[in-house]
Amino acid sequence: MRRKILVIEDNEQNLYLITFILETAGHDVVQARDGREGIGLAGRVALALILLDIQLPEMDGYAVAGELKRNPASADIPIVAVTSYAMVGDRERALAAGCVGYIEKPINPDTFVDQIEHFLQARPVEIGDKS
Amino acid sequence: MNNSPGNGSRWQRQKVVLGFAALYLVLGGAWIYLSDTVILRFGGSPDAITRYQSLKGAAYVVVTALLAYFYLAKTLERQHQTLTALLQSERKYRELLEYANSIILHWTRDGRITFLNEFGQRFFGYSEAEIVGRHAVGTIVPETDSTGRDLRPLIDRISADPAAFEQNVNENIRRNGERVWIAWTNKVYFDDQGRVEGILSIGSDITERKRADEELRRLNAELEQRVIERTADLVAAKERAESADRLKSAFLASMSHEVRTPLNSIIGFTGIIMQGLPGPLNAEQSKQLGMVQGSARHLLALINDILDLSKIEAGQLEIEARPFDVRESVERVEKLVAPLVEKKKLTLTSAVSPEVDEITSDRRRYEQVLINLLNNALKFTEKGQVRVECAIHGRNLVTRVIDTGIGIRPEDLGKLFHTFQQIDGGLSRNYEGSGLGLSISRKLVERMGGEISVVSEWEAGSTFTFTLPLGQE
Repeated sequence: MRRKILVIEDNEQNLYLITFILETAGHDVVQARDGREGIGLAGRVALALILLDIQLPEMDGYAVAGELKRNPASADIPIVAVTSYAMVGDRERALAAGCVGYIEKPINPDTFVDQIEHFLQARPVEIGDKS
Repeated sequence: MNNSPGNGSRWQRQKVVLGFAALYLVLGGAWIYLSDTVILRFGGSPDAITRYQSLKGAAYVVVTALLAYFYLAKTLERQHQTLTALLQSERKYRELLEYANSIILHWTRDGRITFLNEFGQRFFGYSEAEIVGRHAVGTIVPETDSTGRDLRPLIDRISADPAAFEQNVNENIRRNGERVWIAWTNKVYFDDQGRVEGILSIGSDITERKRADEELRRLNAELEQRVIERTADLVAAKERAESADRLKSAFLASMSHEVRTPLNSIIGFTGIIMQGLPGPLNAEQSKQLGMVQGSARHLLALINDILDLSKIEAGQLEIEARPFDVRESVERVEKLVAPLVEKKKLTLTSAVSPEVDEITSDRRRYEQVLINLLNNALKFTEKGQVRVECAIHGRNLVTRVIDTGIGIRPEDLGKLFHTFQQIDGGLSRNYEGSGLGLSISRKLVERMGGEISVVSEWEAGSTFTFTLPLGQE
């Protein structure tokens, strides 16, 4: 089933890479190069999933996730952090900010699609589990 | 000895004189009476009596003159002896006072000097005539000391309370104006009415000692000051080092992030090209891209190791304590290293003792250490086998990784677990690695409360052993 996925990522190559993999796997990709753009798109477009980089210019990923969760139009869309932040508490901070998952960069092209499918399928459960 | 002049001894002397006079009176009277009686009875004619009387008178004069002569001579001789002894004794004590190597000073209660021994005269620079009779203040006692303290009341205070001044140290002055420090011992004499009659003071020059003391005190203070400064320097250096350390950790964390971002696209794109997603590849292209991928993965492993180490060193590494199944962990790690085992055509076996079950520790870190040790073992073994053993010893889980590889030279064993130590620079070309794996493993094991060690024989193989507590008590 074709799903629409928003990728918020400021690094041009990584954005291209993720887009390429997802499109090859048969998904539609909407691109945003910073947090503001992403929040705007999430409010307008019906999305199945948001892939969020944490290190972004101006507004960081934690703030973007918080904003997306506060906005009723995007609050129900699951967010997965995709980041090379790997210090203590990064994972916990991402989850606390409202992300349902965390994929560490560099992504593994062999397993990336499977990981995304997992989050897409888990969506209803994730919504039901939200506390 | 009670021959001091006084009323008693004068009466004694008069008694002696009176006794002598009385004896003379009695003897003289008896002589005149008895001799007259004898002459009158046996003298015969008045002429003869007169002659006898004259002879008797002459004899009396001669006898008394002789007696007086002997008595006076003896008395005078005795008196002379006594006087000589007295003089000798006096000279002896005077010499003691004069030549003693101390200042001996006698002064009245109003501060006038009545005696200063020769040593004192030489010391202060006055002759006897120049000093005796003068007031101490203004001669040997300056009016004010070097700190400006008024010394004039000092003499009054010593007189008023001699007990408090049995010993005192004060500043004195020589005739040439030189200030000296004297330690004095004071002894007060009282008269019959109990008033202070005079004071005997014995002093020794402690100027040099005091100067040495002050020098010592000054040096001490200087030393203390220097210690304080040095300590401050060290504290500053320590703070600089600590802040440099924090900076280093922050730098490493940020560097590792910055390096991962481009690696993400390198590994990602090579991956999708090799999958053939953008289009078909020929065999040579696949082979070369495989090499790019291998290098990129190696670089990533390196970055991960550096990040781990910087986390450990910055104290940011958190260790979990949750129960996990050791057997499952060993199986998982075996699967992970299986491609390498296959590639090098080695055998990997494992033996987990039946009593090994769950332990409470950090599963991810346990597996990380095991992967490190297994990767090392596989890397340095060309033929033979690598074996994993798990058993419970006491309250610890003991995990061993045994290989039949090149082993480690005894001299290299000590530096094995230190940061950036890969044995033998020449080998590093054959055996790629960050040189951080064992250092990280050791730190992880220690953080989890265990120990890691190695036993090895050169060209025969190595056995790495690490222990972990079964759980927190």
